[in-house]
Amino acid sequence: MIVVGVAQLLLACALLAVAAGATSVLLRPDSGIDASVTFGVVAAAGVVATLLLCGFAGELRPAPALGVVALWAIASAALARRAGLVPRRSRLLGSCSSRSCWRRSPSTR
Amino acid sequence: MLAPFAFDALTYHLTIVASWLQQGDLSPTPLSLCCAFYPANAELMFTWPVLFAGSDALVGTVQIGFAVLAALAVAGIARSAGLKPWAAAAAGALLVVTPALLAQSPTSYADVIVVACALCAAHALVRFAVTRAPQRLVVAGLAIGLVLGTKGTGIVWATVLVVAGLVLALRAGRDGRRGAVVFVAIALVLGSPWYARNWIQKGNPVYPFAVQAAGVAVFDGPLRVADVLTPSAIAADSPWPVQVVRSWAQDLAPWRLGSYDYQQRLGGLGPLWPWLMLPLLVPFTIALARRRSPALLVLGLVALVTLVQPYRWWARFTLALPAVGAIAVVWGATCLPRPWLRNLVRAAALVLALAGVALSSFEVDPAARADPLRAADVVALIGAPTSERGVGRLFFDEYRFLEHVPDDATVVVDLRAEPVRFVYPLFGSRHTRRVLPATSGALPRGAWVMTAVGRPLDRALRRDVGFRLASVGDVRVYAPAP
Repeated sequence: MIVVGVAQLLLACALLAVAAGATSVLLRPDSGIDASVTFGVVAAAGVVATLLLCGFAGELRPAPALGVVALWAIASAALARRAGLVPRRSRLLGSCSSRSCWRRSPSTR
Repeated sequence: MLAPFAFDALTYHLTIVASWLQQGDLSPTPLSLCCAFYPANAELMFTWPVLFAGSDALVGTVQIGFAVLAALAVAGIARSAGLKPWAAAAAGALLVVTPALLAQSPTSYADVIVVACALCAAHALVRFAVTRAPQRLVVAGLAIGLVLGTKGTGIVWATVLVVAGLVLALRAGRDGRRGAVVFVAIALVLGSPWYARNWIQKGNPVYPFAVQAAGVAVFDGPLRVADVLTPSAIAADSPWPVQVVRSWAQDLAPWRLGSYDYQQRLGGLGPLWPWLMLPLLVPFTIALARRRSPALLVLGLVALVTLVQPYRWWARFTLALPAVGAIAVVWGATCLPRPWLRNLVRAAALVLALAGVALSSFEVDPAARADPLRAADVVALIGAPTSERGVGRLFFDEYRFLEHVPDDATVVVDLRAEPVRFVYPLFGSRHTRRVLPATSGALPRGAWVMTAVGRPLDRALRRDVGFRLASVGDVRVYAPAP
């Protein structure tokens, strides 16, 4: 029972990480720190949205919640891939190591 | 290691979670008389690990994650203020060692979630002000929605942040205006469901609170906000600035307070706040203003929210103050004109931060009239059987009877019995027990009953041969007779 619970939780968190990660990439964070903050906010919002959806539908059980997160992960990963935003190190981390990046974003250069 | 023990967690935050999971939906729990209609995004966060793991063992880690998120947001704001990466990381770390935040992080309260999301929203708004990238408004909108739906006082944060976001967006041209619509829509979608539910079910979005505007009743409710506000633990009859100063003054000599607890009512921002953060905020603000730094926006937002919200004296409601204070300290440690001054700030920050950590970690103070547990005793509980880590065994004697209640039992609880303080422990750590509120109807067959001495239910059960007294004291527990 405990093993099943832990496995379920790990799966849910892994799917959440993929979904939040892909969504964060779509939101084009401007630095490593911004990427981390964006990821955290999107993941928290994802938890709330998923459970609101399942809970108000009267389906607050593990399977429907896993299904919703899996759908979100697939959709956001597909969108990120289609937009050519599959995460690269240069985009997510270290792209803003110089001080100038904190004044102007790449998109406004 | 420890079962959930914090007061509000046991009275309503986790009671709501357990009730939702047993019902299979998000309808208001009948097991919380005070708080079933409060906004509940924090409870959704607590639901996540319990729903999948089938146990509350990891529910205490939720706010720890948000403490890390708050630190990241502070680091981001510090970078926007022009600090170097290592200095920004230090600012984030200084926030995390704030005693009120450190002591509350492993509990199922909502204050760390609120401050983390508010700081993330502020960081995203600053990034929008710098980059004009509309995606930053999406992140801000998500964070504001989380704050709005987490706590009633989150309305203050959400309002201030939305106004700031709208001003920035409207100044940013056509893209900004389009972004503004999306920004507000996202915040409302994520933050308003609880208010919408209340409006549909009770005709009042902020039920149970009545709302009046210019003497006219806008929404009816059984309570006024003033009825439930906790008075200051010190100088309760004095004007609020006196309450604030006297509360902060406690942190000047924090060893007199004993240990910091998770709902610290006197002081709580830690010795760093009055000794270093507060004095350095003045030159730091001037430096930011001279450079017209966008990070100044965050200082303005924090100051405004602190002034507008009702609990200015209470550390857990003002955790954004040490967030900006941490950046000011790191600025002082890196940017003050004289090397000896910078070294002094560094050494003082280290000593004061360590003092705060020590005072919030050497024991776990459960408050609520229970005895603290020393850190060494907490560590000794690693690997101990669940029964030895229960709240009844460690903190609240009246719940010790739960060690004898079967995992699949039904427990009826008399919610109007004042000595019955907590409902959540009755569910059990795996939420296997059915918990029902006592009603005037017949009790379910084989149920355990929790009430208080002298209550009508207590008198009725004393005469009932189907029940035997299982626990005496102010709290009375009846077990089904064999």
